[in-house]
Amino acid sequence: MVATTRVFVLEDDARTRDSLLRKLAASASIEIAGAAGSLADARAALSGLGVDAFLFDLQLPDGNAIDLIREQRAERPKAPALVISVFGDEERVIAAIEAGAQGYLLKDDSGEDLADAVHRAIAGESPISPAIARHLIRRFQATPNTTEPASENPLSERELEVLQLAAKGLTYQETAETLGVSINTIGTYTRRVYQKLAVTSRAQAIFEARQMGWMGDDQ
Amino acid sequence: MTSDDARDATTPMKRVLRYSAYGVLYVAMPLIVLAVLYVVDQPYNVPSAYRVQPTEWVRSFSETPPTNGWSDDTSRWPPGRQDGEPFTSVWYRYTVSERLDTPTLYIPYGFGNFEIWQSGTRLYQLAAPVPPLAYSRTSIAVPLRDGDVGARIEVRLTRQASYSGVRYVFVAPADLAARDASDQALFETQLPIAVLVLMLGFAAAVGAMFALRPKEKHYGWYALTIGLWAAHSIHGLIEAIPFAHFVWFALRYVLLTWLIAELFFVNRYFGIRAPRLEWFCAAVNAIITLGLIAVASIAAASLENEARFFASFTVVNLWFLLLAFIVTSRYFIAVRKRWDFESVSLWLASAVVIGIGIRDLAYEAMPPGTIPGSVFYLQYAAVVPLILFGIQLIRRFARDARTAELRNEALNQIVEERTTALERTYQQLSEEAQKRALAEERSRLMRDMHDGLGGQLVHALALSEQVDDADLKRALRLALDDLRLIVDSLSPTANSLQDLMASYRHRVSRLLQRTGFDVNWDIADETDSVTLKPNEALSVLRIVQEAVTNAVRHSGGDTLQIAVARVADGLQLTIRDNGAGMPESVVERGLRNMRVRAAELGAGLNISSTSGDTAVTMHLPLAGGAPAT
Repeated sequence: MVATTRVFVLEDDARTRDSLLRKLAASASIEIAGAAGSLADARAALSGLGVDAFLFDLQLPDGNAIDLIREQRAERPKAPALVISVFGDEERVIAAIEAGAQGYLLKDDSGEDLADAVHRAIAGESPISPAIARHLIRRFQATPNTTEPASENPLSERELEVLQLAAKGLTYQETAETLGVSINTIGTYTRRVYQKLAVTSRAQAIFEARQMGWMGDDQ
Repeated sequence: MTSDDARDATTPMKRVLRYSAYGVLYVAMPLIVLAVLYVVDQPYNVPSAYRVQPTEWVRSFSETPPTNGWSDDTSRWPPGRQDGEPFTSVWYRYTVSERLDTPTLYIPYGFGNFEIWQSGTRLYQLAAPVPPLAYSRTSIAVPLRDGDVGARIEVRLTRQASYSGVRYVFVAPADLAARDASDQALFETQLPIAVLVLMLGFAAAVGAMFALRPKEKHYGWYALTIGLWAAHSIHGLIEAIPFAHFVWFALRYVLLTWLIAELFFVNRYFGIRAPRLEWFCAAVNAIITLGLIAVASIAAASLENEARFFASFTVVNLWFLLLAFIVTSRYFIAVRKRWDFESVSLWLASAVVIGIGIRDLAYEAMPPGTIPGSVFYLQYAAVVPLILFGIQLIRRFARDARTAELRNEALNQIVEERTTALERTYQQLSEEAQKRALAEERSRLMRDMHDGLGGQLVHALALSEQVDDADLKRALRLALDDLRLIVDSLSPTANSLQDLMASYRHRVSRLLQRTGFDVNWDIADETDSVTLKPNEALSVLRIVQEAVTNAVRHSGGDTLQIAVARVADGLQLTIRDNGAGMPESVVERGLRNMRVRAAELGAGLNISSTSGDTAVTMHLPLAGGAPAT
């Protein structure tokens, strides 16, 4: 039996937060490290706190959680950050992943799903939706064409295959079966993809986001 | 010979030869014309044998032929008007010397007011001798009462001028007189009227052109020149002068001095710049004009002054001659510059005009019969170059107008093209703006759904967990699922049907796995090239969701196939299960919901439900037909 995982939850809607905490607490392997409804509260609560994983809602009354994700990735590099979202494919989730988040959860996921996702994240796996996969493919395929010297880590053929199957909506299991490898290998591939994405320069991320029209500003 | 050749001939010898050739040509042209005139021009149709000379004359103001005072000194013309007399009045007596069948007194060129009497009866009177007197240039042909040899005829001549001579008087057969009279009328009346009309026509036309294009100064000078000629030519058609005759002469000459306009015109027409010459000529003209007016006003004082007045006309005539040569020199400059048909023909025409002018002067100055003919030709000849110019001006104007019209057309066409392009650009821009507004609106809606509706549904779902109401929970979850479909259909990153199906698959895979169904996804790669509008995408997703939900809930089977295939003219979606078949009510309801959505898409929908094989098949035609790839 492994030690319980200490999870910190940031969600501004009290009912939803309670629901999430209740579902997580139901799992024996999860321990609630803390919870907050705003960035300020979260920062106050997190100081000196032992945390193994984060669940972050992004849109908060006092701002966007992306900066907090970046801070916590620097402060607690071993603790994966997961975004909690209603849809999982919104632009803010992708922005959060670029900031270092390792995946997302749906707010209405069941308790088992939530706990499962947290454990997988700690194990290095990254949940990936077709929308995110499509975005990643474009990002890495566009790299050689840009003038930015950034990405010295283009995707390997295998990593690209995994992304392409994910973009078609296949689950890890289905992808593993299609490629004839174990499901763990698929997890490794996706983790590497996320890591490669994280090291691409912030400037390029902004550039790409602009190209995709995800920044919401005028082009 | 072209102008290039003319310029190339630069050696002195060649130049001498060339100018000699010009000179010969210039002199030859009028000589040829004059030679032709000399041969063809007869003095009158009436042979000189019929010409009669006066036998006696008497200076008298008597209203009837005087009975005494007759003089037979016919070696000179009798004296004209004396100081104190209102006008010249002389009676001449002629005698019939030959017996004729139809004896007619014929005066071909009557220059004054005539009365003709025979045997105490007046046969003809142009007008009563009351000042101002008639100034007739028409011919007079009067049948005689008595044509016997020795019969006497009295002719009274009254004139304002002091000159009293009558050059030509015939007693001839009526038919000869009539024929000559008609020729005289042609040359002295009908032709001048025709030329006058022609000149006024050109003056009006070019005057109008000048009004349209005031920058083309030569139009104005031309209209002035030909207008002045027209005005001057009227004097030959007027019967009664409204002024003293020397005033009339002075007016005519003042008018003529302003023909200097022709110099201004020709300079501008040929593009010759000679401002100093123009100023000089204008100044001389002004002096001559003022001089004429001054002398005319002095002339009224006495007959001696009047004689001096007419003598001063020699100076004016010399000036006109000089002016004519100056104008001709312009033509010559033009010939050297251009050497084209137009300049050469004008130059030679001007030579002919000068030649004829000299002939007319000689005809008037020399004794009768020295120069053949009976007509002054200058009035016609001088008009020829002007008419040639006029034709050329009108042609140029028409050509310029045509060019302008063509340019205008070209310009219009360009404007039209630019307008179309502008409209197209504007349309594209507004389409772009619309697209952008649409995209902005859509992303606003998406944000609202994410931040608002989505969060609220999750919140409601969390609430429903507390009250533990399964129906409420299911309803909320359905709402959330439908919202997710809407979000998927509006996603800016999901461009193809394959992307849409991928999102749907990702969303439902885990749920379907839990139901225990063995799901067989078969999404053809070709669907990657099929893009749907958001509303179409939503309808497709809802139909698929409805079919899948029905299969999972009601079929009781364990295998589900979800297939999207590219067919010849569109797409085929199939959701098939191996269950026991759906209850009739479900089939009906499902059919109804899905039909409505399929109808919105313009798709065909078919549900076949037999035990062990239930299939919902939708056929969605695509506008593009088979994909390009």
